[in-house]
Amino acid sequence: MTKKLLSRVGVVAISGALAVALAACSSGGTSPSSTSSGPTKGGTITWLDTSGQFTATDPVGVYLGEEIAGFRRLVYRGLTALPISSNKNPKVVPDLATDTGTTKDGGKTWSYTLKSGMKWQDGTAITCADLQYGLSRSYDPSLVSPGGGVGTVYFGSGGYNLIDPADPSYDLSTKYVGPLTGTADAQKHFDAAASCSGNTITYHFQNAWPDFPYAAAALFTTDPYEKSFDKGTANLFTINSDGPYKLQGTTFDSQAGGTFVRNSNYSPSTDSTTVRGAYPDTVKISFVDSAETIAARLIANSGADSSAFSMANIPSDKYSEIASSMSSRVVTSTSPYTRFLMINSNTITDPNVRNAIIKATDQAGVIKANGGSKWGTPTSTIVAGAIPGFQPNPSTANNNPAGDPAAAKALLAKTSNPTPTIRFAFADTSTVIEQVAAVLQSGWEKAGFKVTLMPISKDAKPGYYAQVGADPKPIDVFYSGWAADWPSLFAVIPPILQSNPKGATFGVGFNYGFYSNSKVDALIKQATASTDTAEQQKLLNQADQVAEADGAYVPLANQSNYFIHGSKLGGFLPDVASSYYPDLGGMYVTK
Amino acid sequence: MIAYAIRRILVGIVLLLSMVLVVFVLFFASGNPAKSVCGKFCTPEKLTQVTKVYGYDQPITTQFGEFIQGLAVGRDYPVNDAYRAALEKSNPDLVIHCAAPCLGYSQHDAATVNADIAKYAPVTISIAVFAFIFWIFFGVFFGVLAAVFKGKWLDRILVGVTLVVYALPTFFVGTFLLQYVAIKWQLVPYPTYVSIADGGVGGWLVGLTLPALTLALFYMAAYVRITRAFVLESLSEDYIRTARAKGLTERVVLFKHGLRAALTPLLSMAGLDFAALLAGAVITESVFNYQGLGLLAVIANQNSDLPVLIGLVIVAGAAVIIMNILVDILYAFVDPRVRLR
Amino acid sequence: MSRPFLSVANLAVHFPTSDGLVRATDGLSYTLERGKTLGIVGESGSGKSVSSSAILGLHRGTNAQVSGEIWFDGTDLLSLSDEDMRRRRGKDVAMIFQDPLSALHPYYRVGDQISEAYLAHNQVSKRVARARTIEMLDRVGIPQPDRRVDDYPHQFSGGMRQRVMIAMALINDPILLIADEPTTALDVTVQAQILDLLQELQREFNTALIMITHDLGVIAEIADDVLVMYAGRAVEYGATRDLMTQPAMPYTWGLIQSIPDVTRSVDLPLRPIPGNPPSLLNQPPGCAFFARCEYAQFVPGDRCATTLPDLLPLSDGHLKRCHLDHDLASYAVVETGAI
Repeated sequence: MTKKLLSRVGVVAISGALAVALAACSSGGTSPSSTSSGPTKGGTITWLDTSGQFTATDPVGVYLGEEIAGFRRLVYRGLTALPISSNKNPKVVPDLATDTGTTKDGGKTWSYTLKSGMKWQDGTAITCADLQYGLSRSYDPSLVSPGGGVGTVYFGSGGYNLIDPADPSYDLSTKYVGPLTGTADAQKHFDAAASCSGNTITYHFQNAWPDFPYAAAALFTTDPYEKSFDKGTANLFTINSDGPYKLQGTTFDSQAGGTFVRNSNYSPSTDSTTVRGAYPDTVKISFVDSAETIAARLIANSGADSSAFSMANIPSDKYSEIASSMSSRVVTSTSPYTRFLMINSNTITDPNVRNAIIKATDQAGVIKANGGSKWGTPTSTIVAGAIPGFQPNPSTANNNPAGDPAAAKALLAKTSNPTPTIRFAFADTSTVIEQVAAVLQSGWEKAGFKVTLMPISKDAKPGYYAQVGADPKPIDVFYSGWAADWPSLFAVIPPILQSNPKGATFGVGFNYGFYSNSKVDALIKQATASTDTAEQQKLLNQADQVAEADGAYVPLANQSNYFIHGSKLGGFLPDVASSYYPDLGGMYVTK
Repeated sequence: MIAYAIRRILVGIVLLLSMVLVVFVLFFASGNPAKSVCGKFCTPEKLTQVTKVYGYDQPITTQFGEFIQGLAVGRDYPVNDAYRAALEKSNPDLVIHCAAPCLGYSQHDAATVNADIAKYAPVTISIAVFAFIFWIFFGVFFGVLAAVFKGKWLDRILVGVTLVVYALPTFFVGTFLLQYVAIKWQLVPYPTYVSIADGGVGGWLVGLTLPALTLALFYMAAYVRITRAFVLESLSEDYIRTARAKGLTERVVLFKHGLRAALTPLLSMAGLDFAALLAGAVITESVFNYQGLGLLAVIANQNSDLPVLIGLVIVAGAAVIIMNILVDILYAFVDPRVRLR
Repeated sequence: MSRPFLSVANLAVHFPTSDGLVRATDGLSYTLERGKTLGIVGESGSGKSVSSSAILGLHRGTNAQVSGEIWFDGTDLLSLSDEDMRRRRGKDVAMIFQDPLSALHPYYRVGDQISEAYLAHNQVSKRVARARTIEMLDRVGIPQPDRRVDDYPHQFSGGMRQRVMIAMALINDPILLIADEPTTALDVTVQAQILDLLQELQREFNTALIMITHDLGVIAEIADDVLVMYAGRAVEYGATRDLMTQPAMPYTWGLIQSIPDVTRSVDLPLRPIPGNPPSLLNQPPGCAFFARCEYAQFVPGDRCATTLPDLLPLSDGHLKRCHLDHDLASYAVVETGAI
């Protein structure tokens, strides 16, 4: 679960000397780091990653940021796409569809028409029915587990709610269980909700979804799926490509990887090189044991590894091995990931106590323990700096990054118990996180808190997120993080801060702190109803500010990316389209 | 002897089933396992659905009973009857039949546990066999050498070195070999498993070298010391004096009379160590990311993949039990004093 | 004058250990002719087995320090190379060990173990060796030898196992046979059978026999000469008849008194020798038996405690290592009424 987060936790593991002299490590910034003349075709690019991260390659089960980023460029085309671009605010472009979508009612219905001449890897033409079928599979719980099921949330009654316009009260998210086992009646309603007319599909939502084209680009939920290819859960690790590459062999090996070769039924004329350069002849995904091994291989830069890259960051204990001679291969960038602590609003009900925790938190110490500025920078919000509409949260922007025990004490003095006990939970996966916990503990204790550390081991049953997501729970504060599913405030604020339904025993979206504030809910509702992007951003930032004034969460850091790649790899660019992972679409092997 | 083997196997099966029951109970002890697979956007409705689809809504006793039944006669998946019935009506080819002995079906891997194990076992067996040959050969060789040169410098060096090697954690040895020997110094190609079908025997052996070495070093160190002790003990026996008194050459005394008695106890030890390896070398496989049963166990545990865990328990248990029986039978052949009853 | 058939002169076997030098045997000398039997008696650890093993060269390859001379059939065995010694071992000199269960290899068939000894010294086929083995098993009185040849040691009774050991030792017609407590582990009737067998075979092959035992009764029965050992040294040496009738020193008296005898009155208790033999490590000066000796009081001064007595002739061929004078010695024997 929350694979985007877990993967991230895995990547940034392991400590070491933090303030290592890194002066020599230059930054490629956000521009392509290669100095050669331009992209050339041919060769093999190796994508190194840590094994076990990909829990599915079936589009309906994929929910790992880097996997979405990579597969979008290789095998899975969407209705829309984000281009390869260093622009921080890129415009969505058409992919399978002829345009980026049309809406006549401010986002409640969206229509897309398929381009002609596009085929699946078996040569069959891509049809509107494939689009319907692809979305319908998101409703089958046996298919989306355990990958994610992100679609059911945004498309379900708790989100924008895909509905049959003839029968808006029919709740597809609870009554429809997908094309394989759904009843004929439910299927009829679904087919009306995502209706086909020739090569045009129209989605009907109850709530306006103004940035739907971005969601369609960033998620695989609205991608087409070929019905004849469907073998149910047995498809978990299969790939039926409509992109420039196809998987060699029948199944992807979640522990070893897979090789992607050119797809002869892909028609470049229906695509754009600004979305998919498709330069190498072969892309090989190769899994190894750890981020340390990946970094070591990329540093060694030998053989096939000289045209290799990884979506994984250089772990902090490898910082010292990055020599100045590697500067052309090392790239730093921002990241859509933020780190924060969630506060359990059901156990810490007094906003003064919550705010005291926020004030007393030693952000700077946490960042230092994680590896310093290569890992992240202090932030005041859960919104990453890379998201359009980002602004520092006024409620916390002026806090001292090193913590302010005096201010925290002052807040606690207003409460009935100036030395409350707080139980802090974290996923105990590395020594780094233990150091982070110690830093947090000492900061809080300075303000008078009594702190109980609750490390939850990697193999704990139930797992970390299953424990912290539940309610009630014997936890007051817990370590967390988030990356937007698409570059929008809508993919951050509502999932984390919108109230859970009454009686929920598990956090909906990512509101595991069970924070509940009717003012915040109202602002989110207002933003959803609005059609003006600037207005939406203003309202959502307001919601963030209100929630944080109330002590909803403890902001920690906006994470950074710190990548190294092989010397023969060109076009290396972490960009918005790939959630600031290296964008595979523009990569090529230099001659 | 056949009666003996049958009786031992029957006892082994009872033992295995008890182990499976314990794993079942432990697994369900922490509550509904569906929570761990419900996904990021787990709603109560979705949790209920997932619970049903996985069959976790049934009592543990029922689930256990169905599992045993699957072992005996095979099973159809998905397990939820209503769900499967609907599927049979609409898409009958999507019902997965798992033939007996069915170890279960892993939703996480989208494969039957039997298929999972069949996929991962060759790597483990390859590493185990390679490591086994390596450690037995060098372990016994150096052990005998140390015993023959007892107290001399060669013995002292061997004993000293093996002590150090024995004390090194597998994790450290594996990481060192991978990070330095393979990546930094590039003395060997980056280790990846290549099956005999893909790379021939040569490629297979090259791919196995580092992980097998990692695993073998620890055991080798142990076996040098054990062999040395056994040989020394054997050489102090009365029958060795008898052999010398017969006028046999030292070589015959050592190799025919001394080693025969010294190596026999090694047989049972080696058999059990080998059986333990068949359950997967967790650390070695993880360090090198070799898709063996040990890694499968780690993954399954992280993913709360109960069917795979149970399948592995059965395979590991069966390996130990069968190896035990084999060793006992072999022992009866090498030691004439042993009679199987 | 020719040398005796076997002449051990000033034999010493020392074992260096981390605690010091263990003098297992020191200054040992005796002779033996073909067809004759020498009995060596003494308690456990008196050096009987260690000194006899030296004749076979069984200390070679260990850290034992062996010195002196062992003249056997015209050759000094101690001066032979390891390989030459190996060639004679098991062929000209053979040894029967006590406790045949541990002295036989548990994993090999007895026939193989016996024929192995034959094959080591004869260039013959395995079939010939096997026939010879069966013949020897028959000769030592094992019933159905052609069947039992393929049995394992654990399938034999104690007495039969000892017969197997004897067959193994005699298969190459050795001219010197050393029997190290061959009857210790056996019950009395079997003991007698084995002793009869040994004597019979000795007569047949004209073998010289060294019989190592702690049992003077056995010595009285078969030995021509007796050597009494204590703490690694000979303390009395002479013809069996002389030594049994006129034992000359307190340790021998003790040994004789501790023989159970069916003719002895049941009221007269056995008189075991009090105390334990001394450690062979850091031996004190003086007589090794001093601490246990009831007769030291009859020796004037502290000679027993300070001076090691020499092995001196008492009469022709009868030697003793004791400070007591001869008269007192005779008195003691009469008083105890032994023999």
